Amino acid sequence: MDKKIGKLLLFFSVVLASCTMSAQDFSVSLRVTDQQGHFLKEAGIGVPFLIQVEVINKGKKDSSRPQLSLPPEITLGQLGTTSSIRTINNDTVSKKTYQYSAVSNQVGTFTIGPALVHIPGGDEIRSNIVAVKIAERPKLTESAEKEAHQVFVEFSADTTAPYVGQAVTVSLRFYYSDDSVHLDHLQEPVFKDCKSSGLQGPRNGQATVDGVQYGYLEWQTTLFPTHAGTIVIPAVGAQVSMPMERSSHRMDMFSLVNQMLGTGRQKQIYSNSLTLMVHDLPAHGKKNVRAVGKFSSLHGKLGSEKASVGEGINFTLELVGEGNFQMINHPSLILPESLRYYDSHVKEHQLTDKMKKKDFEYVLQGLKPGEYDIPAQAFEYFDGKTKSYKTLHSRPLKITITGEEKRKTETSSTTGQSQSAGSDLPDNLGPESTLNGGGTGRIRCIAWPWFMGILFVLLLIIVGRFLWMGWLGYREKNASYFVSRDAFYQAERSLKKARKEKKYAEIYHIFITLFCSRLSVSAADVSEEIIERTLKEKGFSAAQIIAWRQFFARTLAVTFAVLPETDDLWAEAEKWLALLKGIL
Amino acid sequence: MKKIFFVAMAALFFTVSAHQAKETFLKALAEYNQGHIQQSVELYESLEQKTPAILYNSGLCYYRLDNYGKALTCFRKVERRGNHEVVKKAQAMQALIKQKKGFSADSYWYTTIITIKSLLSPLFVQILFLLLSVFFVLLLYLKRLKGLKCVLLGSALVLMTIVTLTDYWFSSQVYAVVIQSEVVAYAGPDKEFHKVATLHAGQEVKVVEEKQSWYKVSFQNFQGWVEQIDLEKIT
Repeated sequence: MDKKIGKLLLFFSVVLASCTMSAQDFSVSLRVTDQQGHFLKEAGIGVPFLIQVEVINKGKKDSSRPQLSLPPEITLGQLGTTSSIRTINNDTVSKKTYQYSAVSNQVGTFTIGPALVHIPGGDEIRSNIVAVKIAERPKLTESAEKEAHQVFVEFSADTTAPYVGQAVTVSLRFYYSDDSVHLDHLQEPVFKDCKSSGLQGPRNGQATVDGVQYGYLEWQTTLFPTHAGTIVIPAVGAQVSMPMERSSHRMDMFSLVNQMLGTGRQKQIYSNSLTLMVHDLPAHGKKNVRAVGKFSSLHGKLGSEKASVGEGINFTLELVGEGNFQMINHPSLILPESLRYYDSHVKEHQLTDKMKKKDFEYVLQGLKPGEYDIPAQAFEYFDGKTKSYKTLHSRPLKITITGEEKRKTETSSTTGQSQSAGSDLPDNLGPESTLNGGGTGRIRCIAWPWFMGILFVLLLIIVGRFLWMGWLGYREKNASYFVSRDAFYQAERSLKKARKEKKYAEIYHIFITLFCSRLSVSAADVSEEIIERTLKEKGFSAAQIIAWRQFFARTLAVTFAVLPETDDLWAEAEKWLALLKGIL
Repeated sequence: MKKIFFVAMAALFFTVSAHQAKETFLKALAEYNQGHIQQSVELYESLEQKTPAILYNSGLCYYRLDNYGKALTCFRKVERRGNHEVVKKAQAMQALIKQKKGFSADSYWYTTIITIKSLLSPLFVQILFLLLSVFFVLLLYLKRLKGLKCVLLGSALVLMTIVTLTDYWFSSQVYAVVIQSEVVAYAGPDKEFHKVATLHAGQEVKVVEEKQSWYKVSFQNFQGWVEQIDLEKIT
């Protein structure tokens, strides 16, 4: 028993030792740096930084790829892996560095890590945790601070607390202190939850910042926030070429060549990010006003003052001013009940740098004849400067709807598109004015298979009827033949039936019925003499008549059970029936 | 209860759909009157159920856009489905287009059939035919049919049989209109075959056979294969 416990303990200790030894062979560390490889504590919004996970392996077995724990606010992209192997005194140490590019578009302090690595034996090793602060204007490293005096990118807005739909002028400036600095590439800014008029520029200028004279290139755009809340515009990256630093030591071959050729060094710099706190428009009763700005006039225009019922008339509302035109759709019209309208085209015209004119076109239709007043149309908007709601009114108009089809010569051509293309069409070939004017289009009919089926049945009945009538006529014409044929047919059937049922007494009655039918006499009138006389007339010889007499007497005797019933009587009866068929 | 609910929902759906169709039709008409022909035809094409009025108005739009192939297709479809008034207008428009393009006009026989079809409802003709047939059968069985009555009724039935069978034959024929400007007909269902003829937009052909994306068509004295995208079927 002791031996068994001892063996068990030994086994577990070996397993534990191997795990520990395995763990000691591996180590994992996590670092966060800027793109130049310098240790980083603060990063800008939208500015990429690097996460490096270093796995050192002193053993011979390989580990898994690290799994990195990240908050959802940080977006990760993979860059690559580098490896190095070193052997000292037969001990091999390999180092693998996994690099990831990360970026965040939200302000805050976030924890990156730990990185988990699975090692052979089933264990896992965790790295350290690093905290990173994401700020609008991050604290720069010393070297970055030094270079920022030479060249930097600045994002600014005329207001950081606009209302929904209010115009926000955003400016992006690239400052440079030295003309030898070149801007190679500027990243396009991302404006989320905003409508933008598009980046315009660049414009050259000069400015003094912190006592230093700079030249700048400026781009501007106007944003119209579409939702209330916080809108973060991430930092914008720029690639610049700067002159090489002259240094007495560490002059490698490439920097020497570059200096000689006059080519600068490439550098990636980032602007600050921009945060807008967008407020909802103040409540305005139950109305949902989306127009924000300063609008000067609203003008209504009719394409024609006369039209017929159903005919379309062009109506335009012209709005002039400065504001979020992109967010303004067709305003609702206030019209009399007998006028209906549909939204049509929209046209925008730039009047000055900021002033615009937007034409909202509608198609009006009169439903009933009469004279109608189109009341003044109202347009409500929010003035961001005075922070109040204002209303513009158009002037009222009159329109006459006639009950007749309007002649084409009276149609106005304010839209610029004439109807002369169809002028070769006679008046009576104009369009249909109602949806079901030419019928519903549904072809109602009985399905062809059914119709043909019914017709076929009727045809069969008709043909059958004709055939039947023809058959009856033929029978009438050949009545005697058919009567005789029917009588013998009936006699044969009865004989067969009697034979089957062994009714010998029936034979006599069958022959009596046959003779009654053929001689057209009743059963009371028929007698042996009449039968024999008829047979004689039909050509029976004396011997045949005697034979007949004997047969007939025998059938009578069998009927009254005077003579026994014998099977040969059936054959004889059939023989006489066949004989009589030929003569009667 | 469930059945009533579903029936009610179906009725509501169809009512709303019909209302929307009417609105779209009126909007398209307004656009046409304003001279916005392209917008008008797009609105007409967006309607699912094409009534004769929609087809006729679409045909007018295509005519004004100089798309004679599509215009003729629309007017041909009106002929098959419309009432007498709109069929007359469609026939007049077709005659106008054919005169303009130099196509041969429809034969008198064809025009007569179309006119008669537009005057008589197929259902009416079928029911009349069946009633006459039943009447004939009854008279036959009652033996009241003799001499002139028999001849007259028999003649009427024969005539109606001819009309019905002609209508059936006519409806079963598949015709198509060329909608592209220059369409080549090949000897087989592939462009590798040699060319047989060139068809122009608006020409009407009879579809004899269908194979993959090709139609075998019959036109005047020839037969050839044409790609399906170049034609639009009328029936």
